[in-house]
Amino acid sequence: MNGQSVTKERTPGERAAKQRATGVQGIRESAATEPTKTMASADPVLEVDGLSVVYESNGQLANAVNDVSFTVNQGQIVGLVGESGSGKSTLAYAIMRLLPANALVADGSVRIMGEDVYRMSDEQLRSTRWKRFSMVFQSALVALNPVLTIEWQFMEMFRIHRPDMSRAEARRHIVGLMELVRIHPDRLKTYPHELSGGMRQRIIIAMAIALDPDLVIMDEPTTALDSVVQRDILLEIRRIQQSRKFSVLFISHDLRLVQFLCHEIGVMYAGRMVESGPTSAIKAAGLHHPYTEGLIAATPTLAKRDRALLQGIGGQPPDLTRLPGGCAFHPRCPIARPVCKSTAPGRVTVGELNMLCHRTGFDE
Amino acid sequence: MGNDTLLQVKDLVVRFRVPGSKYRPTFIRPVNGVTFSMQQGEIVGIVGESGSGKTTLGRTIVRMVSPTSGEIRLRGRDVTRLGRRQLSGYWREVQMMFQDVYASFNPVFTVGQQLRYVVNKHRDQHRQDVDVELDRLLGVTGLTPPDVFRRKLPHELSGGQRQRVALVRALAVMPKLLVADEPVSMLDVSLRADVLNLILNLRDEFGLSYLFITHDLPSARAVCDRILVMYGGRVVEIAFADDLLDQPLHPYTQRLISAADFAEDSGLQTAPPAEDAGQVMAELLESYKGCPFRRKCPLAMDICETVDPAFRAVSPTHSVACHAVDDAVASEARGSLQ
Repeated sequence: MNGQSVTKERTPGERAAKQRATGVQGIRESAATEPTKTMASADPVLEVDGLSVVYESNGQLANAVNDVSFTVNQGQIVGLVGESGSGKSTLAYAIMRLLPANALVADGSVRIMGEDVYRMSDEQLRSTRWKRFSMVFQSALVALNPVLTIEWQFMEMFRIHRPDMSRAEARRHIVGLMELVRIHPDRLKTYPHELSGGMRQRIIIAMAIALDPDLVIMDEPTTALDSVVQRDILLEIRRIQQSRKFSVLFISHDLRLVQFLCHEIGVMYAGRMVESGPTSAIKAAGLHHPYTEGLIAATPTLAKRDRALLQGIGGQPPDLTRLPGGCAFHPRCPIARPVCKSTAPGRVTVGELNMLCHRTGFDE
Repeated sequence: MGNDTLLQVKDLVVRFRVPGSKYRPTFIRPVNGVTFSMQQGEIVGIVGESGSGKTTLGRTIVRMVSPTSGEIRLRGRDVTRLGRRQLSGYWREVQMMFQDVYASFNPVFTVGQQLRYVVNKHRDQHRQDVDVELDRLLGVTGLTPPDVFRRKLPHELSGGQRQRVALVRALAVMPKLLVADEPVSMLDVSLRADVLNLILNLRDEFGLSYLFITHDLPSARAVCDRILVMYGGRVVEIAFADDLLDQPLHPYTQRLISAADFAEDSGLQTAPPAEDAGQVMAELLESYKGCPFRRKCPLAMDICETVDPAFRAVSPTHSVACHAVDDAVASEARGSLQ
């Protein structure tokens, strides 16, 4: 297999100590050079390169994100799937440079439109964040201020980021945004608790795209919603994305949603991106990472009428402070071999897919 | 329906006053004329969106909410008006698993203490026998080794483990019926399948019956024998799970199915416009007239504005409440089901 190589394992402590001194190490994914059919131009909006994030709590280090690389191109929707604790939300916060104080970017870089987010000055960051890249947070009720009206919260954003805009101009803009997410502008005078969950989420999406960003990161935007509203919101995201041409990094634990919405998908497990590639290849039968196969088998769908078809992955997600040696998935993996316990797998390319697994080496 | 009928619910109505309407009281009916029955050992799904009344129906059946009118019978015995003392006997047979499992545990007691408390409350048993029993249940639900889990506090458990302990707590009483409110929707997909399979296995092992409340139709299909679809406090359709999904008759059921159907990329159609729903659904208001789904229904007719559609059987096992399902459709459905 060309492109196969083995990533050197380091303990979290060493990684943290080395910080960014050594620069980027590890194997880069070929995503950036892969031909992508889904968009017109291949300008990278977001480049994440060898990113590692370490959390410190009670003197223990947890490798929440471990050597993750991927690219989001202009006008593309890229999805990240993984269960709780797989590091997908940490990755989103690292991209926004919003990590809590006990977290540290140990390695790698994040570039948005070619600019390294971690080399920006505070002033630069303040002016770029939300204008160039914004985020839709998981809980819309928590993300909105409960004691201010929706309009006030919109106005505040324009006052800070677009001081050149007059109030009347900003208001016109806000009404336009409300129409875009299909909420009656009368609702601007209401407080968040007066709105239904779906409407709140639409407002949050409107706020995220208000300043015409190049990239919108969406962290589980539909998880708290029921299935009918969830689908409406997904269709809304797709419609607005097609008219405004921004890029989206869409994070979810539900493979169904990601397959439905995204052009490319990355599957995360225990802080690593274990499989990535275009949605069609992830959906297609064929060789996948065993974790991806497990996710597909575990997802209830309407087509799965035979009860035997629903199979859990078994076991528990790993404790990030005590990751198993070798491949982190080996304790739950149905096809694990002795080599999986001892050696961390390297990245291999299978067709259009990129995987972190020993399995391709099994047959030889 | 023979002697195995476990639960019968007839014309059940629950009426709440809208908070804040003290001086001009307005009322909603989150459960409005619900009728159904279930057999021993059956898993019946209650499916509907937020605000459809499915949780209130579940809570009313376990008698945490008192019905305004109607009737609930457990194995023929009327339990609609049980008093406090009699209720504890009722809860020996009917248990509930709550949606927010974490909030349903006391954070300062260990799993073992909380489980033992429940058993002692309902059964007169020697302490050692209780422990043996609990260990067995913990083992059955995959919480091994049991003695480790008995010593844990709720916050030390993961989401999937907490869900299992909640199952054990409900099972420890050896109930006949378990009302499970969204037992898997807070879980990651990778753990969801395990809990769903556990629910099926426990039915086989203990002959347990479930009312499985969820908004996720695929999860309901994975475990339920029959599915009951609720909208605006009413049951709009009820059928065997396969019939309901293959031949949905009510427009709302059809909408639920298309919302869950991510396999087909039918998403290119434009989304329906955002609705202007506030916190209380207008459909639940007592003053509401006509079919609860009419404002979103693609098939709405004049009659839907004024006349509440009757719940009628299109086959012995398939019933629907819709004016648009005319007799031709019904007889066609009847023909293909036979």
